[in-house]
Amino acid sequence: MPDDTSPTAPSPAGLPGEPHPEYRARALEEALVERGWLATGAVDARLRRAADADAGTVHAAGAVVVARAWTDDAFRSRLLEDATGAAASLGFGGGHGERLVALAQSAEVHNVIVCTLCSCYPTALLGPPPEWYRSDEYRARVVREPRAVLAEFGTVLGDEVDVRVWDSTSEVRYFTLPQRPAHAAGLDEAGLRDLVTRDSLIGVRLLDQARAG
Amino acid sequence: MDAPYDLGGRSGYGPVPVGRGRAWSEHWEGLAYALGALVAQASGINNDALRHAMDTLDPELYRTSSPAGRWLAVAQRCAIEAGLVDAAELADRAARRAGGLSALDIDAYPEPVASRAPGPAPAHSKRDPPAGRRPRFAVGDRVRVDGRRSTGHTRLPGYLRGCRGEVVADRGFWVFPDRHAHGQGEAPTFVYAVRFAAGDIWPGAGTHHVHADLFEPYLEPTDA
Repeated sequence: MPDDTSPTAPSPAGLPGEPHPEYRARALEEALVERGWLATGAVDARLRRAADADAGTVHAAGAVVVARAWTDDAFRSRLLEDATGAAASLGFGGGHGERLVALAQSAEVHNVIVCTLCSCYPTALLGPPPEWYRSDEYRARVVREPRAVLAEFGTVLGDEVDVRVWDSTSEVRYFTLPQRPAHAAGLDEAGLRDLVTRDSLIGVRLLDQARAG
Repeated sequence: MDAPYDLGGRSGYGPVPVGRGRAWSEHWEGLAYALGALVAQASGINNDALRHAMDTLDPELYRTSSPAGRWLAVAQRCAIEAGLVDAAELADRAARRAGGLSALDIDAYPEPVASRAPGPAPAHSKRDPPAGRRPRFAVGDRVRVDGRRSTGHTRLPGYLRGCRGEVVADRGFWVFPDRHAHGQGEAPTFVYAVRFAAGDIWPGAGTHHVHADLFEPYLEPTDA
């Protein structure tokens, strides 16, 4: 788990002849602070916010949006029509003015998101992307062999399912609207939120699988 | 040789590290991401130029670094190129830290040379089309992607070059990264979500579809 306070003990992990990246990062921070370009503590504050967003509540905003869509048909329609506006109506928005687009999962259609060029991701709803999402393996492979990649997450789809991969090449940020799981009968909106996983909104896992998001 | 960052569809990659489900593993990696964002703000670099700084990292460095290592390199580079800090100063400060020494006085280092005026954080990149400017394509249109290779920054993934697809959504009017990254103005243009059959991109790839958001200059009409 990311720890926002204690550096890992520097080890010879950098390129040969280069100081450990912890030292290089702190050297950059120190120079920028001393020259007046950054406020003291700005880097640690930002790091702490990202670590908090990555902690237990990583997908909190996304879960609120999905649970509302599961319980309110008008909201669901609006979300699929204008996800930016629907999310904003609940207080969530893209920090850089990105446009949000929601993709509905169904028995017939399965959507999965990627950014093959860098690591564009719906941060406003899901926090910082997981390391696997930034990995070269995911970026290279999921556009070409999504079924094989999904199987590595334990998601095996039938041949009849229309698999749609969305490469985030503009300022549009995609997320999926998972199907409401069969075991969710009788739960209220708050209970439904607890079922929603980050990985289901990326599209690499289904909610009827074991909860491993 | 394709740019190292343009990874979509490349072969030779192994299993996805599905167990690495957190944002970072080591503390310095979190620092690198935070610094990348803060240096971008402090230097006033726009998002497209920031991405271009990543695109044009030394290819060997890109290939051998983790995503966080790439961001640290980009943060260093943007800070140096904007004139926020001198490269020799950064190297010396890092070496002193690694050696357990305290930092030198700031006056001991050369004054950085600004190559661009630092400015405020970049604005959003969605624009309203001017009166009379209409999208060239509509939902349902068949389009062919430009097959030529860009020599500068682009948001056109290499795997789609020359491919034919269908417009499935109009995404609005946005600053054009291919110009904006190079300080050539915003040149805003329409963006479309375009659907491609995987088998048309990679023969034998299967029955799935790939969608990408493509800027109007990347596309031309086709009947095929």
